[in-house]
This record gives sequence, C-alpha cells and structure tokens, in this order.
Amino acid sequence: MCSVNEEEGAEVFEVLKPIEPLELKCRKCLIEDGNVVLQKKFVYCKTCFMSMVTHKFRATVGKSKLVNRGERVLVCVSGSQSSVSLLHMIWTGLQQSTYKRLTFDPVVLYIDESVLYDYPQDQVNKIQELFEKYGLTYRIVKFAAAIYSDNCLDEDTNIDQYNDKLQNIFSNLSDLTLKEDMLMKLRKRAITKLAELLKCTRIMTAENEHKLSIRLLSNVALGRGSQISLDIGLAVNNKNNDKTSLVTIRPMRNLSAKEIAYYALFNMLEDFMHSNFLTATSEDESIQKTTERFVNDLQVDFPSTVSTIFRTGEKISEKTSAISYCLLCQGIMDVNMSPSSAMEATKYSKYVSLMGVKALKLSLNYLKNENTNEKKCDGCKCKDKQDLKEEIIESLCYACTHIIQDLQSLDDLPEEILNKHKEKLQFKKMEEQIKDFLL
Amino acid sequence: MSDKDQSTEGDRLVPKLTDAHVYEEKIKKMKVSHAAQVFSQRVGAIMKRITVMANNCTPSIDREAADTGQLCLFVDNLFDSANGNVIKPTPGKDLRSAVTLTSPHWVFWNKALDVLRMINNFTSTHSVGANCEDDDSDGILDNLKDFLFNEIPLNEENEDEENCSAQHDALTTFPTLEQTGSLINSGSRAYRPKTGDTLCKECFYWAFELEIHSTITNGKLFKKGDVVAIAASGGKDSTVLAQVLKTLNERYNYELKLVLLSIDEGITGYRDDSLKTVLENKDEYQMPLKILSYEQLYGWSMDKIVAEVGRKNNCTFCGVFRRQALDRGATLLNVNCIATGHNADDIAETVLMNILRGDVARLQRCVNIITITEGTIPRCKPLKYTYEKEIVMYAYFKKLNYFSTECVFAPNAYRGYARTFLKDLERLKPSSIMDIIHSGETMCVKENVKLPDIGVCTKCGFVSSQDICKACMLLEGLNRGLPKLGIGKSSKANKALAALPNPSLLHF
Ligand SMILES: [Zn+2]
Ligand SMILES: [Zn+2]
Ligand SMILES: [Zn+2]
Ligand SMILES: [Zn+2]
Repeated sequence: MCSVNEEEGAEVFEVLKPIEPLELKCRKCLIEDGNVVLQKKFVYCKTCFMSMVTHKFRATVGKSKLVNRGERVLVCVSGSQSSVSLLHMIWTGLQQSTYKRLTFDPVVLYIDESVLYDYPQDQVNKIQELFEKYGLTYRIVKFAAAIYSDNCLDEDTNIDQYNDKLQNIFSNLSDLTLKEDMLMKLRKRAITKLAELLKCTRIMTAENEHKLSIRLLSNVALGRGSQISLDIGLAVNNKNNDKTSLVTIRPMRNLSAKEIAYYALFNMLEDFMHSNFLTATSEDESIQKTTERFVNDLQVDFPSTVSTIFRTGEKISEKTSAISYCLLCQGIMDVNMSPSSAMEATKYSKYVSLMGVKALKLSLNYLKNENTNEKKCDGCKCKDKQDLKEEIIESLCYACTHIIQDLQSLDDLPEEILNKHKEKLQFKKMEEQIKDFLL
Repeated sequence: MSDKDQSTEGDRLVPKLTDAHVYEEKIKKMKVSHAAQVFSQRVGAIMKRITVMANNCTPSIDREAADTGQLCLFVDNLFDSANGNVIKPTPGKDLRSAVTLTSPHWVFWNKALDVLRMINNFTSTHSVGANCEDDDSDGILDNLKDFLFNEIPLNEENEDEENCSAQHDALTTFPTLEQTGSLINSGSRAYRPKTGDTLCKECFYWAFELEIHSTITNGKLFKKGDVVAIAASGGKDSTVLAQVLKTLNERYNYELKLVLLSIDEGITGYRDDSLKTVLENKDEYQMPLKILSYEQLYGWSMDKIVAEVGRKNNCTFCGVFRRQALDRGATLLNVNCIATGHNADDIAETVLMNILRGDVARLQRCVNIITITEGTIPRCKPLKYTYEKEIVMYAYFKKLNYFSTECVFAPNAYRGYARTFLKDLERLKPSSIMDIIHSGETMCVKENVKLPDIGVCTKCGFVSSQDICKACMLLEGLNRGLPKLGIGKSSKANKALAALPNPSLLHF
C-alpha cells in the first residue's frame, strides 16, 4: 500500500534544517559570549542559561500550587545526573531570599540497590557525604528492607534474608523486559511505602523529558497505555491510599537531558553510578532498550521527536471511571473490556489454538473445566500453587499479568501483595454469602 | 559500536559535555547501526567502506565490522528474495521477483540456509553491529521457513498430527533448522506467530478463520442482508479478506452480499498487474467487481499528477484521493458498509505513528474496529486482530493469488522507522502487537484537550474536519495550476483560496 495510509492526513514532518552559522552572543542579554547552544540554534551565556533552567524548574514546581508551605516532600535521589541536579536546585531554592525561597520541608531519600548490581564499595559512603554536605534531612534505605520489612527505617536483623528474597524474584524472571518492568514497579512500591513511613505527602522524582518520552513509548509497547498519566504525569493522586493523598511531582520533566547535563557541568555536580537490569545489555534484548534506541535515532533526524512524544503524553489522562487497581503496580486495571477488544481477542486466540476444529462447538467455559480437571493431581501442592497464581492474576493489570506468568515462584513476592489478595478473596466470599440478603 | 555507546538511561544521553565531539561521533555511529537494519544494498556497501576507513585510524573497530557489511549485502538479497513479488526483476536486484521453478531463488535459498545456520551460531558473541543481523535473520528465517512449508507438496495422508498443539501434544517451540528437514517431509505444520503454538495446516485454517469470525460477531460489524464492499487492492490483506469473508459468509450464514471495490490510481506499471489479480479474484470468488479510476473520480490520474507536482509530494495526493475514492465508490455502489484489509500490524503501527505525531484525535480513532461518521458509509476492519505474518501464511497455504502493492514512488521515511521499530518489538515479544493495540484501546484523552470536529466538506459532501476537504483543496490546486496549494497547513491554503478571485465561482 502507498506509504500514506488511508487513515492519516498528509502532514510533513519537521526535518532537520542545514545548520546555519551561529550567533556568538547570548540571545538573552546580547552582551556575554555564548557558552551553550540549545536545539542547534539558541545561544546562551552561562548566567542566562542558569536562570532559564532554574526558572523552568520553579515553574513546574509552582505551577499547580501542589506543594504547601512546610509540607514534607520526599526527594528521591538515584545518583543520576538528573537527580543530583534536582537536589542542587532544591537546595539552592531553600537558600534564596525570602520571597523567592522554596518553603517546603524536603526529606532526601537514597534507595541502596547494591544487592542487585555491582556497585563500587564506597558508593553509599560517597552518597552519604554528599547528603551531609547539603545539610538536609536524609535517609538511606536498603531496597530489600523497603520491600519486605515493616520497620525499614531501623536496622533490621533479617536484612540478609530479605536480600535473598529480592534476588530470587529477579532470578526467577527469565525475560529481561519483564525484569526491568518488575524493577520499576518494585521501586515505585518502595518509594510509596517510605513516603508514608516518613510522613511525606509529596514525592519528587527527577525524570527528565527525554526519559519520560521513552517511558511513555515503552509503556505503550508493554500494554500499559491506560497507566501512562500515572507514570509520566506531573502529579498523580494516589487514590489507592485512603488516609492521605500521595502526589508524585516530577519537577525536571520540562528540562531536556542536555539542559541538565549543562546544569550539572556548570555547578560541578558529581553524579554516581546507578544501574538497572538493562545496564550493559544490548539494545535488542529488551523492549525498553529497543524503544530507547528508536527514540534516540529518530531524535537525530527529527529533532522534535522527544518533545512531540512528551506532548502526546500530556494529553492522555487516567480513566475516570476506574474502579479497580492492580495489586502489583497500583495502576489502573482494565476491567469490563468489551468483547471486541485486544484483550478478549488474545484470549480467544489461545483458546482456538488449543481446541482447533472443536473450538466451534465448545465454549470457553468448557476449556476452563477441562483445565481444572487436568490439574487435579492428588496430594501434591502444585495445584494449589497454580491456583494461587491464577487467582492473583485476576487482581493484576494486563501488563503485570505478563510478569507474574513469567515468575516461577510466588513465594518471594512482598507479603502485602499476598495478604491484600487474601483480603480481596475474603471480601468476595463474604459478598457471596450475604448476597441473598442484600436488597 | 554498541559497547562503545554506554548510555543506558535517557538522562545519560549527554554523558559529559567535555566530549561533545565524541557525542557527535556516537550519533553518527548510532545512525549507521540503525541504517543497517533497513538493509538497503547501499548501506551494506557503506558500512564496509566505513570500516575500511576506520581501520586506518582506530584499531578498536575490528575487521568483524567489514564482515558485517558483507552480511548486510547477503541479508539484503535474502530480504529481497522473500519479499519480492514483482514479476520482472529490476536490474541489480535479481532476487526481487516472483518465485518460479526456474528462478535463481532455489539455488540462493539453499546457500542461504547454510549461511543462516552459521549466523545463528556466531551472532551471540558477535557484538559489533551484529545485533540487528541476529534479529533480522531470525525474522527472515521465519519467512524462509514459511516458504519451504508452502512449496513442498503436502501429503494429507501422511500428516503426522502428533505435532499439532490443538488437541494433540504441543510442540512448544519452532523446530530448529536441523529438524526442519524431517518436518518438511512429514507433512505441513505451521508455527503460529501470534500464540507460539504449532498447528497442523487444517487446525491453522480453523483457528485463523474462527478468530476473524469472532472479531466480526463480537464487534457487530455486519447486519443480515448488508451489502458489503471489500476494498480490494490485489494485495495480500485484501485478497485474504475477500477469501475469508466469502468462506465465513457461507459457513455461518451472514447473509451478506459481497462486492469487490478497486481503485485505479492510474500509475503505469503499479496497478496494471495488481488489477489483473483483482480480476482473477473476481472470477474465483464470483463476486461483482467495480473498478473506479482517479481519472473518472477526479479527472486526474496519478501519472498526470506526478507530471505536474513532481515526486516529492505525490504520496500526499495519492493518499488523500484514495481515502475519499473508497467513499465515493461505495456511494456509487450503494453499499451498507466498507470492509478494509487493515491488519493488527497496521493498527499497532498507526498507534505508534499517532503518538510520534502527537495526534491524539487520530490515536483514539485508529483503534476503532468500525468507524461511523454521520452521513457516510461505515468502515470496518475485520482483520484488526490478525497478524500480518499469519495473513501471509494463510495466503501461501491456500495458494492465493496476490500482489505486492508497495508504492512505486518515494516511501514515507517516518513510517518506515515506525515499521522497523514494530518489527523489532514483535521479535522480542510476539504479543507486542496486541499489547500496543490494547494500549491504544485503553488510553483516554484528557477532557480539556480540544479535538477537531468532524463534519462534511461544503463542496463535495464527504467527511472532512475542515470546511473544504483536503481532496477538494488539492484538486483545486491542480486545476488552477497551483499544485502546492493544500499540501502545507490547511489555514494557509484557506487563505490562498480566499485570496483567489471569486471564490464562490470556483469549480469543483
Ligand atoms: Zn546572557
Ligand atoms: Zn499492574
Ligand atoms: Zn491439528
Ligand atoms: Zn470536498
């Protein structure tokens, strides 16, 4: 078919123009010589650049008046350039003269993930040194403790056991894409939990425009389309939380990777090694990295790629009618899908593949019955485990289902997930029992 | 290349500013490795040359990269041989032609199998740019296997049903190359790219057709007694659509009257052959066929338009005119519904494209299985959940006549990127296509985002988001000798139209 699809119009994409000779002077003050070139055409001097970046940051924080005076804000620092810049911006904001001063109360958080990757031995010490230098309240928490321990703010004697559990989860996942997806979801869990424990009602994370665009696109590829606004939005109301409304703010979201890199350079900010499962893997082993390469390559030929993807994300919202949230990722569950949907079509595909010609005469229910009959191997626990998996999957969103299906053993999942699941079941049973009495 | 570029996260795109030059180089290198995926003949040559040059200055790029260039040429040939449906080979691309018993394909494929086996063994340790080959050879391997399955005479009696996963023991993974030999002899089995199951031929037909049946009934696409126009291009999608709709219509008593509707853009050498295929389909399926030409509908054939506007913007004309041509044709035929051959891959790709373009209105619309706009004939996509790979397989197994309909003019580079990306994702996780459609189906647009109203064109009465539709705009430009009119932003064109003398007398 012709490359212009029937469904689409005929917009021509902005193609990189040949580079014109650059101005030497800063476009803002017109006095100083330029130090920075943005978008291949805008020249700034150091001073004007810094005030521009700071302004963008302040505008994003102040925009929706989300942070109140004296409110406790959890500032998540991973050690990345973006996160050390965020820390520096906040600190600078706190030093300002009265009317410009940031007035919230930050609690800086570093989650120590060294159990999962090879970090330099003194990494934690260096981070601690940095935090001490800024003189802000800070916490350094071990990842495994944050996931499994009830009082993870104190030293826990069971930490070795927790570390093992955490490592098990990831070694039980064979697919790199799912490993990384699981890591993201567990990180989010840990941060949410710590925010509650530290009595913070706001969370700040340091993702920049570039990273969020890649996340948007990989979320779409993973089937997390309905959760996009949760994962990249400026503010997310954590409706799952009954007592307090926890809001995540991403103050760096309007800054490009390049702007942040210059900011870090001019302020001589040192960044630290921060790994994930994709570090040092090749681009065609995981969906997230393939997406990253795709966006980066496209950005070279079409410089507006990142900002366009980002703006698409701005226009996407949560489903307002959502009633159910995923046990694992706390994202929206896609329930009550119409029979004409990709979800139902996929189920039907599997069924038809199994049943062949028989599929016509028999219904989906038959397949379920036959399955349960097969699974009855007396006295053995494998049935229970299989059942547990299937039950848990019912409380998961589309994409998390893929993770749990790949996970060999559920034993190392955080207690809360297993317990919440039991609660849900209990509630269902109660509903069953009393349904005849309800009017 | 890949291990030189250690950027792992978005915020590390610019690792340190002091090595800005290195960064520039990195980007260039990234481009090379990306381009290698496209596997054009030229890229293979360029890569080879680059490595030869690089070897003189940087010893770190070893000779393996030169081999990579060689490999690109090889994969390019392989790609052509699997993709080509052009009957007459173009010079320098001998293998890009139809498969006949005398064609050079068989010799080449035998060689290819050997080489691919080698690649399979060494790509895992082969780091330089090999990532893409590894992937692509897999995909091509699949294609090649499809071909082999198809070409070997199928012996129904000897069919060894034990390897079919429907009601039989499942063969969970696709057989390795070593095993293929025996499999080919023992009968015909198909690996379903969508579910990962291996089915015998008969079960595959059932699965394929039943899925489309369930898509049609669940989506309530047709009503009893409907007259349905099948948009027939002669390509694989529409040929399979016609075949399946005819089968299902008879098997499940849809009571539909099916007609084929073809549009002749008037491109010499492009439609001539594909229209021949449509004519054959008409006889084979005994369906009425209506061919409408751009000349008839608009007074301009594509050849004439190209002569007027050159090759740069002609795809705009082609696309805009075709979109409306179907509506116009359907109105002429007085049908209740148009069925188009868009498959799951097309839809997933369009979802990606609309995200890349920031077009949320189309993002929402493109996943609808049926588009109903007031005053127009509804359009539906019965193949919405059908994988392109399975369509190709079905067509080959059933020995359906189809024609490759790649546009002969310049392709849209941007869509090419999206397509390559989608293929990469599918290779990593076959469910990606469905996952993307699922994402598209569940994404909601914020309430405060203004979406364009869809109305009808004041000139021709067909669907348009503007007062005057794009087709009328382009047509007016052509007729007035201002072919650039309407190509850019609509607002500009409106101004230009208003500036023309006596707009009310414009003849449409
Ligand atoms: Zn300045
Ligand atoms: Zn989930
Ligand atoms: Zn079978
Ligand atoms: Zn019109």
